[in-house]
Amino acid sequence: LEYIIRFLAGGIVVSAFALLGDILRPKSFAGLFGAAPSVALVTLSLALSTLGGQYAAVQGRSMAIGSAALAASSFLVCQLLIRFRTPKLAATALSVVAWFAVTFGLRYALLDW
Amino acid sequence: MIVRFKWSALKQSKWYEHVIRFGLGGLTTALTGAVAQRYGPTTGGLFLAFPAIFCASATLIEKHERERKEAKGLQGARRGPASGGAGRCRGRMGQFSARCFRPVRVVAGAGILRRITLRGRDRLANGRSIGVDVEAPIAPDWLVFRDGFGSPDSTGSLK
Repeated sequence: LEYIIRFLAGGIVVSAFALLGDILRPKSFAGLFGAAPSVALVTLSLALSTLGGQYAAVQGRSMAIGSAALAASSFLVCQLLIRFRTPKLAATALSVVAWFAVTFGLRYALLDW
Repeated sequence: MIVRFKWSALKQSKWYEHVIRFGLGGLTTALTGAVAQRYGPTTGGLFLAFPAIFCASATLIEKHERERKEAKGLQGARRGPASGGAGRCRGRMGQFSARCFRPVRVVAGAGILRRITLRGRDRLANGRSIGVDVEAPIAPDWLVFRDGFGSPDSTGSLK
């Protein structure tokens, strides 16, 4: 049941932010909503209510690392699309790979002492 | 910058596109919970900043842009500045490879030139003519002399 709630809540929040990004102009402003913490809103809310603040705090610390990786992957996708005119699907796929590389690199560099 | 709402953008989206977004967003959130349960909050927390919205939106934005261009009678495929960008990219790759191989070219070119010069000098000293075969453009064949002088023999070395 927990996973169904996560799925529904996550789908609603992600869709809402994506819609907001669609209808807002200019696109340079609407793009800010592409980095909205949609997954975090649902996950942290559930973690706070069921597992307590300590658990949510640890997740929040990791989220800061993930955010740095998100910034790096966003920069990469921007360069790929504007400089190299890469197809959007390839650019997003590459950015996801970059996100995984940066986030796990930082995680082992900063959190695993 | 003036921020405004463009409600007509909602009409561009099909119902299944919203379903895709909903599914991707829900799947990411559910997977984040599963990762947190399996590997702990430190690893699970990383996925709180997963670019779920961007991945769900970027490919749809491309589709909408293409449809918008086609509706205006423009070719939806990439062209103009984009193809120029691809050309610039290829040009840069060419410059890069030229820069990398320039020392090799200079050394090889100097060696070949020296060889031709020495052989040509010998042939001129013997009263024979020299020339370059223009019908064989690929090296080392383009260095072959008219009467076969300079062409590679069966062992691969120049005559």
